[in-house]
Amino acid sequence: MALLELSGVGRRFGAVEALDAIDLSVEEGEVFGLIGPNGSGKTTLFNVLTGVYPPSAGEIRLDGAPVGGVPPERIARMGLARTFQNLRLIPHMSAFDNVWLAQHRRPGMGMRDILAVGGRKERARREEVEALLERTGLAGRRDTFAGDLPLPDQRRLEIARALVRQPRLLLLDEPAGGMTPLETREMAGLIRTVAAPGRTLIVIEHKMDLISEICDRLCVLDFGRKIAEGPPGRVLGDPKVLDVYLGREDGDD
Amino acid sequence: MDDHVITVLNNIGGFSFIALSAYLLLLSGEISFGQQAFYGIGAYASGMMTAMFGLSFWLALPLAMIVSGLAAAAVGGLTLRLRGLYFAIATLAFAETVRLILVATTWQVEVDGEPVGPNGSEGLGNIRWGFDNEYEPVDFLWMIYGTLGIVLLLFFLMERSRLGSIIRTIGADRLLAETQGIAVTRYKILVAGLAGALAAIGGAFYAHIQTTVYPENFDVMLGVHSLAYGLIGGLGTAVGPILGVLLDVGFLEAVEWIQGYRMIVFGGLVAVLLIFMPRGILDERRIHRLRTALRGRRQARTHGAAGA
Amino acid sequence: MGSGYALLAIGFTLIFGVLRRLNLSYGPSIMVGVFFGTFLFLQFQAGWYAVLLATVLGAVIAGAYVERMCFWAIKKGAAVASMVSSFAVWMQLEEAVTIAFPDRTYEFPALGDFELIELGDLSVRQEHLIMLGIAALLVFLLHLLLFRTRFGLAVRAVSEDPDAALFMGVNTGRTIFLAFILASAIGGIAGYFIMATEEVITPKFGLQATFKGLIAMMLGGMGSVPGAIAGGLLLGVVEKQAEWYAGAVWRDIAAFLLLFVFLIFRPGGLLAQGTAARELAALRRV
Repeated sequence: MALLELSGVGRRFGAVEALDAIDLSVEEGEVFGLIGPNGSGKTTLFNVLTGVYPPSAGEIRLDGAPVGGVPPERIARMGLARTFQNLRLIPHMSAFDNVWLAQHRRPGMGMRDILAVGGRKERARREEVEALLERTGLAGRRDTFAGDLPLPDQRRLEIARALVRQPRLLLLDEPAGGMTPLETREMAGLIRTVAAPGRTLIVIEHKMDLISEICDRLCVLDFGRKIAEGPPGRVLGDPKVLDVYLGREDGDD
Repeated sequence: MDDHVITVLNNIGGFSFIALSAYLLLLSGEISFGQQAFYGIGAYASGMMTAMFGLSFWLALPLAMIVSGLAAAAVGGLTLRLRGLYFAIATLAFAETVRLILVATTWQVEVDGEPVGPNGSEGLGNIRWGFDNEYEPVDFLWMIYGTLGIVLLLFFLMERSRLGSIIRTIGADRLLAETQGIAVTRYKILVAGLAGALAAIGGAFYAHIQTTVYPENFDVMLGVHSLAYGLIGGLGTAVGPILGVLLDVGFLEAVEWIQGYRMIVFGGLVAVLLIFMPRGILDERRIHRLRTALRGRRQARTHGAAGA
Repeated sequence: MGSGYALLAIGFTLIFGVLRRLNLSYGPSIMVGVFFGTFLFLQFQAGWYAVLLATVLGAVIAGAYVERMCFWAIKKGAAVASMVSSFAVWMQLEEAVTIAFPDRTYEFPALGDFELIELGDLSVRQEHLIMLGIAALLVFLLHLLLFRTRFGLAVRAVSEDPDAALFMGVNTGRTIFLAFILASAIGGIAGYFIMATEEVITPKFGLQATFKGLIAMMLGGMGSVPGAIAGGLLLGVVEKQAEWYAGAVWRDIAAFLLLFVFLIFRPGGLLAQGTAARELAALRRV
């Protein structure tokens, strides 16, 4: 069975149909790309998946359990983590603290762990944060305020913060947004190591080289509708997709 | 120490509790204009218990904290949906309602042939527990600062634990907190209740030192002052709000020539300070720098020892 | 009374609309104006128009001080700091007035000697009718100003989206300042008429004016002029009823209780619709 299944998912805001009858299934261990022009509903889909907005139609199943309309904190505890396109770090906390605080309420953590100020388990968890900062190349920035980090570091910190929750499904919203080609290549490397142990990822991105490099399959949204789905090579050659990305000449003239 | 100094110190200690109460809510991202209500409830509840029903202060204090904490948690639950200014105004409305109801309420019982109990705007008098047990102001001084010490210790532990960071996360970005598995509503109610109980401690001490309290003691001025203390002192540490109290009650009280112009000076000070330090004197950045510096020194020392 | 509240609420709403921040010093600046007026009256036996002018002028000067100190100087985004700062300035204003006018209460010139008007079972004080008329006139003028002039367009643009307005070439700083001045002037007029019916003033008037304006604004829904009018009238009616049935203390209890209940069950206010939802969204961002 697929890890994530959407059938007929819709979300409307007033008269606007931001998502319209989306069917999707993402298999365990897959890196799934989500692309489409601005305003096509990609981030809305993330928000619906994470419970920020309930879907106005359809059904979402995470590992078989229905999650449509479940509050975000419960969905998060079911093993879903995300990053944000417009970066939601806590600016007046250090990089370390930003990651550390996200460990909260991982499966198996109770009230005693929340009140703990030391102890073996807490020390182990802190080690884990340090290791993650190391892995995301932020070890040297450990004590820097998140708000003072350059943008690529902030994006990496968001990924570290999501990873520390040990998610089964990780949603990355434009992980390479605003990055130079070199930084984008580094990000692709990081995402590959993140996906290596068989973790399931959904990635929103505009940079096609990144998408075709890391994704097993992808899906294209346009005006809230799914217009194509499949392996990158095939989808990116699809005339409908090219049409969306190269502009609709027929309508302009 | 002369009596005046003791009085000032007692005031500083007493206000510290309500300042910490407003600070705790500020950490969770809520601006409350209504903490004076819980200070007042603490004062009235504990005063009534000792004066009307002959309880010991040491029993009345925790009971008053519970009463006030529950009331605060209930208000917190009711106002959960409200954010920012709406929450601030709702707490203000609640606090003024409480104060005015105290003005409108008279309930007295006879103790030693005298009527004792809340008597409208005449207040609640005859809180004689300190007097009956021959407590001097200086004894209250020890009691207040002992309690404050315990509270501060708990604050420091909280800030080191995940509870503190959860509260700060909720305060900084509610949506982020939710997507990290934090049950925001539950923590909001918890924080509201804790803050209410904290304010009640200050009120209880105030009532037993003053022996008479009036509804007007708990007007909006007190609430906004307690909010201002945290913002002046800084949002980086629990020492911040206490620094704020010290500046206002301690420093301005001490400087003779300010007398009579105190509000003008204090008001100007606050306004100017907030222009340059919108998150207070001891804000997160300064505290962080201090902490890193301290840790750096400690590490240098241990490394040095290891090398030798 | 309700129309006075409505005017106060309009002033509040104007400031909140362009700034998305709360000015607690609004009432106290009006109080300063009222004391200006009374000073002129007591010293020179000035006529009503001079007193009115002085009141408005005083409110405007104090309002300008508040704006520079608490809003212009404090960076965008620090809404809480602005609010606390406006409270600090409130204390300054209140104490300054207390020092300048050491007695507890002062006389304020009445509008004139008026008879009660009997309308069947109802008796109405004539000055209340005058107040109502002037309030209506002011609202009409304000409407013209906001919807027919370039300045009004700028105000509406800034309250919709300050950043976008800035890019469109609106001088946001100046617009905010002028809106502040306008709100203070409206507050001054409201203060004059409220005082002219009460005939006694104290420095505590600042507190009352802030509270009443705030309550009326919140009842109507933040940032909406029609809401402010509706909220002001509702507040006036409820207060009068409570006072009539239960006594003077209950007048204020009713006002605050009304506000509390409204906030819990209808936080967008009386005229809650699209605008209120937008406001809530804006607050969420703060």
